[in-house]
Amino acid sequence: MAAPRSFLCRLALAYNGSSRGMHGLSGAVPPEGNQRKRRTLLQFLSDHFYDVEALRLYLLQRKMSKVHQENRSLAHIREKYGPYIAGAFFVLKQGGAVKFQDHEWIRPNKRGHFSGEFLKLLTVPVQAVDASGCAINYDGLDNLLPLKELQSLSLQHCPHVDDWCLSRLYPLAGSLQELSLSGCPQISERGLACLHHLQNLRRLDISNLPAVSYPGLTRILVEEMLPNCEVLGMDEAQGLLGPEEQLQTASPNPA
Amino acid sequence: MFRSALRLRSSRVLLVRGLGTRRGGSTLDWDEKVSDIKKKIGSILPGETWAPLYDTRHLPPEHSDVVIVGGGVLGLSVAFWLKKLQKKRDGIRVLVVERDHTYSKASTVLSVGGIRQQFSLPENVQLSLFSVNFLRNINEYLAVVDSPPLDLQFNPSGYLLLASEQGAANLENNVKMQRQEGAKVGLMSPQQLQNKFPWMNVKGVALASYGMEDEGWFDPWSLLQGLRRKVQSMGVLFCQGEVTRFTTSSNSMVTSSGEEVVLKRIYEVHVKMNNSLEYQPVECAIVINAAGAWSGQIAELAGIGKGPPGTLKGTKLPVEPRKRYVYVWHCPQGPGLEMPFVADTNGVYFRREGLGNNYLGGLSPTEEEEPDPINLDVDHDFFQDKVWPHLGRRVPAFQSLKVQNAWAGYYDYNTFDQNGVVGPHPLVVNMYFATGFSGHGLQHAPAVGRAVAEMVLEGHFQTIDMSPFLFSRFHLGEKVQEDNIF
Repeated sequence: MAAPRSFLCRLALAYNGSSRGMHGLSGAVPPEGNQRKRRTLLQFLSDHFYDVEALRLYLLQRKMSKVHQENRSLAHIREKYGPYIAGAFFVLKQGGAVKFQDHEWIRPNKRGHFSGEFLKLLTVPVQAVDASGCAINYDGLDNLLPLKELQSLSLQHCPHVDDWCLSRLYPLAGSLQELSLSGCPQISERGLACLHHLQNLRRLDISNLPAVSYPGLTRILVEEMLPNCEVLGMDEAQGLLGPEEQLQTASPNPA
Repeated sequence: MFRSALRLRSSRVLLVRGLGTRRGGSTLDWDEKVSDIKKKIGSILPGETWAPLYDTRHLPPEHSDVVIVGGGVLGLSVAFWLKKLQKKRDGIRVLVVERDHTYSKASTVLSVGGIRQQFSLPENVQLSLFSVNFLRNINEYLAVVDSPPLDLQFNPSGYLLLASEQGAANLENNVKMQRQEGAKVGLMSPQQLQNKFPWMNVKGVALASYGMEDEGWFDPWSLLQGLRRKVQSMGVLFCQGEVTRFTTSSNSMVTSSGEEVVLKRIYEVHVKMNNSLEYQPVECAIVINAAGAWSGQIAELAGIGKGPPGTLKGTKLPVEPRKRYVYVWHCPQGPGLEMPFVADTNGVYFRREGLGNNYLGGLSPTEEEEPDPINLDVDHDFFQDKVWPHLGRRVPAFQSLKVQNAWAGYYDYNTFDQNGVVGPHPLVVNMYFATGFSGHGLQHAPAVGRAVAEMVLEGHFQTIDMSPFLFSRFHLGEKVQEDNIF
């Protein structure tokens, strides 16, 4: 009785779970034991048939090429409308928000549609970009780097932003004052080391970076590297017990 | 008839009991016997090698299209690109022969792991740019189903090359050329250097070039493991053994000017197993020499260099092992996170290692001081006498430091012009070289692998033109000298 139901569940999981079974691109990988338990039908078949393995590899490559497609270079728009419009269009298409100088924030609505009014702002520089949760990667930054007057950049929870992307931010050093990298799973202390180019930075948010080993030490080193900048997140107390908590764990029956 | 059957059965039982008593144990080793029988039956089934007499599974196969001598990063890179650029699935059979699977002496894993575009030859800059592109997208190239993504631990901190008065003009020309090729390198004056890196003493520096992007250092062991994993999933066979002999066939031809030329083809490679006299002759079509520091010995086995000196036949492969030391030290007041990979005016190089104020670096000794490459023992006096004084002068904080660790590794040093050898040999027509990079092989490995694979599969270089790196330059005397070697 249980066998047919579990088989059907496996079949259903196979279609959706094949993407979960293969290694995803966002660095947080479940431990090996976890993967072993939840074996889907496709995983089982690919152990026995070369063709199924090739099919899974093809599906994985297709997933990666989708990210590439979203980050393709908008050179034709940049030539026609200028770098500010091209950058704004790129961010809005990915689902982020853009703020032009002396204007309000422009956001796409729930369906991803946004108004074309910003196309009239040919010479107005872009002041702030909020690319939280967008699938922006190294190639997509091509469209953001010409924004020479960008003051605030938020890359919170972007799954494809990694250390290579951070090494690419130095052209914005002249204007960038606020940078937020909170929650990006692929950023480590090695990428944070190349933020020293951004000497005008005043606010840096590096909270919740799971790939950084030794968060407390990294925060101290980043503060030393950027003396004029306020560094948020990665408090020294994270993961360490304060004196009150130490007492509580020591005595199981608090008074 | 019934009685005779009973008698037979009893005699068989007696026989069985007799065997048991002969062995001295009451229980027979049925499990081992059964597994032996299963293995024998398994080898008869289609798809397995038929080995009725003895087990040959530890030996390499009897035939292989390409045999790659050397399983370091260059050899695996060639294997990867051969399999990637093959036109048909499983169209080419590749065997990688590696003597030491622990890679204890391999240059790849003992390397400092730096990658830079600051070279003086345009071809080298292009090789580096291609390789850095490969490393950036490594999880697309080396994706294996059900394996975790590869983390190369790349530090994008850039390289800083310092030049004195004499070298300043050269440095400026090199930077101009590098920028033309597409590298993001900038020049810095001593004043700018002092402002940017206050821990440095800029006395004696006339000009510096700083790589802003795509330069830094990474973990070569993870690259090697990633390549190995991917290459195994693509169907490349690995063999742990040593190449002891090449069997060649020769073909005598006459050139248009009447000279007689003997062209040789390697048709068999003898692979000897470690710690044993057993060897397997592997029939092959193409041999790739990626043996690193020992490429010269492999070339001699193929008869390269056996002839009157001065002729093409007598031109040896000028690659020999050179020992280089790397020292790790701890300096509590040393430079912070922004420290790039610094290469000083006299060749001393050093970089940050980790977050705990540890640094590593070294110096290539001059020709007269070359240590004996017979083993990998470290000379600590070399650090005291030759490296530390320069370190203390350039970074005053390094005047008080404590050496934590040191190791030595080989450079596959090309004594002719310190640049790699790529492509086929003019006389031994099916031996291709991918060696001799003298300390920058790791950072060029993906690009060189692709170049050699293109040469093998297409017959000419397609993405990057590496014709200045062919073997024939040793005979013609055309040096392609690389200045920025550390």
